[in-house]
Parts: sequence; C-alpha cells; structure tokens
Amino acid sequence: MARIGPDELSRWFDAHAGAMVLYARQWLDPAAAEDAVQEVFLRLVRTPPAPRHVRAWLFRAVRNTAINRLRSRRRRTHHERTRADAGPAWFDARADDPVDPAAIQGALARLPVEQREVVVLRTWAGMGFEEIAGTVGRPVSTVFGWYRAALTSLRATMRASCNPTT
Amino acid sequence: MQPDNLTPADEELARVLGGLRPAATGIDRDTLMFAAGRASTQRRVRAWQGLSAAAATLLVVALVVPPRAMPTRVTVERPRQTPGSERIAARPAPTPAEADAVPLVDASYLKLRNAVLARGVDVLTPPASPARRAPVPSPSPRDWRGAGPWIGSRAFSGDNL
Repeated sequence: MARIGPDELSRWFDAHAGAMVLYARQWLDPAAAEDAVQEVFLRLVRTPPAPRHVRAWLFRAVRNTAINRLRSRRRRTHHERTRADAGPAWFDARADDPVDPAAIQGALARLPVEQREVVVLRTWAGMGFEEIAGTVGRPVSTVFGWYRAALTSLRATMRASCNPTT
Repeated sequence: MQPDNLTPADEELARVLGGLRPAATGIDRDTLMFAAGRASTQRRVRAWQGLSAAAATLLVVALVVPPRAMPTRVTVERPRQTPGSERIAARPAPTPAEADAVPLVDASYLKLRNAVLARGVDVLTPPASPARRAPVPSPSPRDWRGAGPWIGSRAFSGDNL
C-alpha cells in the first residue's frame, strides 16, 4: 500500500480529528492534545507504507503519544496529572441536544481513564469492541466490561444530577 | 461478549451519547496540510542528501588515496619436451622436392587437402610403387555367364551384347 496522499489525509482529518482530540484529552490538556493529534497526522504521512487499518492506527498513535507526553511532563515538572476536564468544553453545545453536554462531560471526567477511553472510542470514533481491544491492548471481554461499567456509572451520575434530592 | 448483551437502558444511553458532537479542534487545517506536504518530501530530500554525501566521500577517497598498481598475470608458453620429440628432432629435414610432393596414397586427407589448396593439384604424386600391388583381373564378358542367378540370365548375357 502506498503512502497517504493529501486527499486521503484530508478525509481522515475531517472524519476523526475531533474524536482524536477528545481522545487525547483523556490524558492531556487541550493544547497538548491538539499538538499530539497534529503530530500523529504528520506521522501518518511519513509512514511508508500506509497502515492497513488507518482508523485503528490513528487512535493507537494518539494514545501512545498522549501517554508518552504525560509521562515526560510528569518527569519534568513532577506535577499532578492535568485534569482531563480542565479547559474548554469537550462537546459542541446545540439546541437539540438530548442531554446537557456539560453534564456528560462532568460525568465522563469522573470515570476511570480506561473506562473513559473505551467510551470515547466506541461512541465518537465508531469503533467495534475488537478494534478497541487492539487499540488499548486488552482482551475484548475486558474492554466490553469497562464499557458496560462506564455506562452504568454514567447513568447513575446523570440520574443523581437530575434528581439531587433522591 | 457482544454488545447486544447491553441492557436497553445502556443502549439508550449509548444512543444519547452518540448524539453529542466532539468540539471542533483548534488544529489549523491548512497548516497541517502544508506540514504534511513538507513531511512527505523531507524523506526524499534526505535520501538524496545521503546519496550525495556518499558520492562526495567516495570522490574524496579516490582523489586522496593513490591508486595501487594492480598485479598483472603474464602467461609464458614453453615448448614441452615430450618423449618422442628427440627422434623427430634427429630426423633429417626433407629436401624441398620431397617436402613439396605429397604421396597420393599414404597422405592423410587433411594433409592432402591443405597441400592441394596451397599449391594446386600438381602437388599430387602417384603411389611410390604401383608394381607392388597385385593386379586385379577384370572379368571378361564371357566369364559373367553362370556367375550368378541374375548374371546368367539371357537379357544380360555376353552373347546379347
């Protein structure tokens, strides 16, 4: 397979850049997440030959880049991990949204990072569980367990936020 | 485990989550495309740079290091002394007349051919002693009669000739 050309790169960017930045923000602040995603796209162009499963490759590369950056930042500054929910909103707010995006963001931010990344990959990257398992390097059953646990936690959090007295 | 193991409530929540759209990225698309174009050509440029550097190094080495004379192989041919060669050398050289004349009978084909090509058919000489050979009697037509089943037939008998 040949390298990724400009048209193809543009197509992958339009389809997945938003979800990739959202995915990178599970570990990094917004600016660092965008840097990581941009670096991944440049690496995709330089990779000869192009990967067979580009989407899986992109998200795996974002994951590795983000975790590496987080580790190096920890080594350099000895600061606490950047809070994933810091900075601008994760989702575009629209009038017809069935739920409050900020509430979802808050609920997602409280999840363990492994559950959160499975939800992001499943929901906004449109991956199947096998593809997610390949990306995070865990068995499919584990990944599915995390996803189900994440949904249960999210539902409980949202129910609690909707009915604060109960 | 398959996703259809989800409860209806989980499926509903997954559907609601899917309705949300990730925030637009702050990545400048044009900048990214420009950087991508540069990145794709950078590798080719590096390959050419490496090739040029290697060629320049080879050129410098070729200029600085003097070329050594390559050993040459010389083949010397010596006449080999074979056991029969003394006798050949001891034999007196033939006189020009003898040398020119090629016996018609004893000469080998190649020798004969070469001689004829070089000096013409005059070089051929008759056999040295034709008298030594026993004469072959030629049968008279009368002797053919009764010599064989077909020779004795009437059509080819000597009387008819």
